[in-house]
Amino acid sequence: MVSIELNKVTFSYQDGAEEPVFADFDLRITAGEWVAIVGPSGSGKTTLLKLMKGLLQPQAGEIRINGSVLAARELNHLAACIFANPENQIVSPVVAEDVAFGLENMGLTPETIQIRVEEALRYVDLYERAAHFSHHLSGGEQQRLILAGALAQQKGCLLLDDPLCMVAGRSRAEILNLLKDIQARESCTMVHSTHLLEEALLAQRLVALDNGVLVFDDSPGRLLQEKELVNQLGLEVPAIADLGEMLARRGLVEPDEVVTLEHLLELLTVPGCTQDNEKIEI
Amino acid sequence: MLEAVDISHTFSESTPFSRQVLNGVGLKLVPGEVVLLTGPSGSGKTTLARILAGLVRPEQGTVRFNGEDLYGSNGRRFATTDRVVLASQYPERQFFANTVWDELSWGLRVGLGMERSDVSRRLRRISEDIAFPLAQLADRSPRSLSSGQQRKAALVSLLALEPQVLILDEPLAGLNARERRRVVSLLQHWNRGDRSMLVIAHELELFLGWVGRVAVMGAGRLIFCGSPTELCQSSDPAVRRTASLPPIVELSYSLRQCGFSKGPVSADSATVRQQLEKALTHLGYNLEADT
Repeated sequence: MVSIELNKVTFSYQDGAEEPVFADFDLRITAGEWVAIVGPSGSGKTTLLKLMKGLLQPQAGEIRINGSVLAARELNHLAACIFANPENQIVSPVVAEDVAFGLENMGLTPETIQIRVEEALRYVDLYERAAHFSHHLSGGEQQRLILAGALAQQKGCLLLDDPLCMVAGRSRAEILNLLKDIQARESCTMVHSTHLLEEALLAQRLVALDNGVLVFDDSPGRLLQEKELVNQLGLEVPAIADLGEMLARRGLVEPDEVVTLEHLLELLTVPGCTQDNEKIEI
Repeated sequence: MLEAVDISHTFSESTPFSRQVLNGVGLKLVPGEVVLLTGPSGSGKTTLARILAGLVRPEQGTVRFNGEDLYGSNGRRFATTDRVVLASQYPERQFFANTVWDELSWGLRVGLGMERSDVSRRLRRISEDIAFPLAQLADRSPRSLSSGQQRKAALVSLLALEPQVLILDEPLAGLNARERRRVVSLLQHWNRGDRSMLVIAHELELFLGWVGRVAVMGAGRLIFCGSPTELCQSSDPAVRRTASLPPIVELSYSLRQCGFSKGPVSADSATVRQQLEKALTHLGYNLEADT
């Protein structure tokens, strides 16, 4: 359980030479919460995660983790962080060794390491590739590999920067559901940036950044109702979730509910509807 | 025009790390055609693309371009580099110059020996097409651009060559919805005359409406190749699962399976909305205002 608090944070990559990315920025993330961060390219998503992980230091303001201002070294024990490009983050030529690397640094016993590596690789569906060369993995598999590395560390906080942008449809949905389970079971704090609203809709809370300014902070379902803001952020409501308004008008869902395919198929389940294609006259 | 013939390929063959990535794959692109190549990660899409682009020599099978074998009997490769181009999944890998301008103009200046004014005109036109702020970024290092801008810069440098076949590996990764639509409309715009395109992508909803064919790979094999409509209506659960059809298509498919809609399975959200509205009305879920 890790809480994160940014108080009046000001950060600039070139202090004084350019507009700061964040100025007097406030954000509180409660322990055990899953927060999705959305916003156009260059809005500060990656910078925000780097600040939380202590990889960047603010010029003004403070960042409190579990109530204290910590050094990057101490933060390492609390949070695992991954970024979008997997190639830069893979350290070992062999898949299983790459997952083990972080665990070895944590000083775990070889037995524990083995158990955790196996479990993490199964989570991301790479167990069969444990003995493969990591450079033989595809882009999507490499992203799953570094995610396994982060999960294996079993820290109270996961900071994920667009972690699945190269992972294809179904496995992306599966991994997101898995993250949701882990997050709920372990009460892990999860901060997850993404370009896709469909990913962000799974989170408990959605934070939108535009040019370093917090422009939205509420439940994901509420953002769907703010069409103009969605557009301004360069996002698009997924086609299924977009049906929500029509369903709400028929009193089938709450106005701020996020509609999913499973949801709709349930609504359509009627005695006349079977998979052997029984026709109903309309 | 460009054809992969019975390709099989294994990484690090006869070592403990051996991995078969392609197993008897054949795929042909005809002039003017756009083919979407999709499938789960690790199914062999990128390797097939690299083989088609002539970057990787397949262990078995061959590649033909306009009827000519890329790998002749003398063992020399027949060069297609300016006619068949590949935009990699990692745009930063292709960058080598110190400024965006040098990077984007290199192929035209050095490769094709074009005049500076013509180079400038062509780059400006293509940049404008995909809303890449060339004038503003020309003197920056390509590596200092944001990932979305790097992707666009890589695309500009390749489109500038005016290739006959464009192969794009995940051109939309890391872009937001608006940028995705922009890149997709650029690709649609680019596809005219006899230019062909092979796009690797998993955002099927953005392609099903306009590509000619969809090829689906699973575990190194081509498990489906046909029109988007055929794919959307496929009754093979393995094909549907491997292709990861968008939820909106699955909804349309279910509506048809359940007899609520008689029209074809659609990937168009407005059409599916109408299909759903009809079904809901039929089930007695009326608009609250009406009840």
